Amino acid sequence: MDRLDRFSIFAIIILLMGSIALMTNHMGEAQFNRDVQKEGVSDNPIIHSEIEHKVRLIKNILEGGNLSKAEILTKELIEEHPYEGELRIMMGDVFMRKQEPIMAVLEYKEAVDLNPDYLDKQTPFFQGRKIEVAVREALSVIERNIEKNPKDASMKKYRKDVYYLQRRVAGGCS
Amino acid sequence: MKRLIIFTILLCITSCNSSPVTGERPQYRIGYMICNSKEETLQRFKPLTAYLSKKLGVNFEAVVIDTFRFTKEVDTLDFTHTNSLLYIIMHRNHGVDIIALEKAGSLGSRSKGAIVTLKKSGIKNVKELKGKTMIFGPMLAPTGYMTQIDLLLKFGIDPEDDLAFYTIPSGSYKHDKVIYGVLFERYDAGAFPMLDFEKMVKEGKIDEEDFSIIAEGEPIPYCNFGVTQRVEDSFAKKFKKVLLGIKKDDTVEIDGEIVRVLERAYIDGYEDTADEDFDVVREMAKRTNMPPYQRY
Repeated sequence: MDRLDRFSIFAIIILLMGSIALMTNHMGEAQFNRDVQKEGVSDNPIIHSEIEHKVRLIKNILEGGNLSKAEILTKELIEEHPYEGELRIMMGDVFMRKQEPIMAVLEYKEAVDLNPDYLDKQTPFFQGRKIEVAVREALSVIERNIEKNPKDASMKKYRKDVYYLQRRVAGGCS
Repeated sequence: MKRLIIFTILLCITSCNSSPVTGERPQYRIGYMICNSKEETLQRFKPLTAYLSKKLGVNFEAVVIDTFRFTKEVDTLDFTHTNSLLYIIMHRNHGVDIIALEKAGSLGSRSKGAIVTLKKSGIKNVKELKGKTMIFGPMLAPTGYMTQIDLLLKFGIDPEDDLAFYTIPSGSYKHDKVIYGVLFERYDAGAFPMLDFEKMVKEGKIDEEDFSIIAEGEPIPYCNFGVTQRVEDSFAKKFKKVLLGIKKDDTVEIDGEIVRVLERAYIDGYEDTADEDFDVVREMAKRTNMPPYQRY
């Protein structure tokens, strides 16, 4: 083995060590594209482009506080597009503002069943924290009602649904 | 041949670069609620935004947003800087989480509102406000509107039926306008945020001896930073760490000028907090039929 061979082996070892160091350093840095996150409704692939502007309009109406109009329009859209999770999220938002957290949770549950990305923090569709608040409030209402009337079957049914969504929020299996 | 191999290996090594492929720093948006005016808010918080960018190695964009537009824009933001009422609205309706509370004035991270009259008016308690006129701060101001509505209701005064007249000033610097409105006897009583009152006294604009505080609300959390649902938890933690670590003497260069970050923002520092600390605001919002618990 001449000097050049030894030097080659040394260089290969350095290269390998360098590669390992680089890989270790950048492990877990993979991130989803923030630009995709920022684009919101307009580039939301799960929303049919046909209803895109209607969704934006309803969101504006909702933030403006006209709940009854927002509710009517959302219901109409759900009838036309029953498999759009975003519309169910919007309906849940309407119920939260109407101070009906149980009904909101039922809508959020439908949305999550249609598109589990609403509970996936790695996607731009994540709505988990908002849903968590609704779950907490719904449970508190249900518990109060069951305490008053332990035989209330409808509340027990709702409790099942809320627990289901709570498990989904926590990352559990359905 | 051997030399070629060595050359190739060396080329590989030198071409390795640990910096990101794009070289671009991630972009984040911080939405600042307009306090007195758009210009004043930017003037206060641009240095803090630049400081955060420097410390976290990202580009923060400072966006100033009117209180009533905030909930329409929140889904396009990464971090929020608002009052406590806006925070509880956005927590419930948009999944915003609390990061830190701001400290300013004699109550630190808390502030309170009061109903104030002129001493010479002779009005000594809330019940005497029946049939009188009153001026309030902006409707989403927890210590400039909500607290005072809560106090009035507590003492049996319904602002709609029992006051002769009430109003909210328009335009910028609404809190200052409320205080001057009482000082110049345009209204019998005003809804004063005590922090603004303190500040105006300190600046020599008014004399506190002229005024009589007839009712004071409980201290509630002051302005705060929140984080929206779309931000990675690890980055939110880093953001919080930097915020809590800012010292009085920390500076940043902005538009060619070296400025003290906290001093420019009229802030004494930041403090750790939990969402439960805002329950006092939530209870007040429920009592006064304010969002996010408003019933139509």
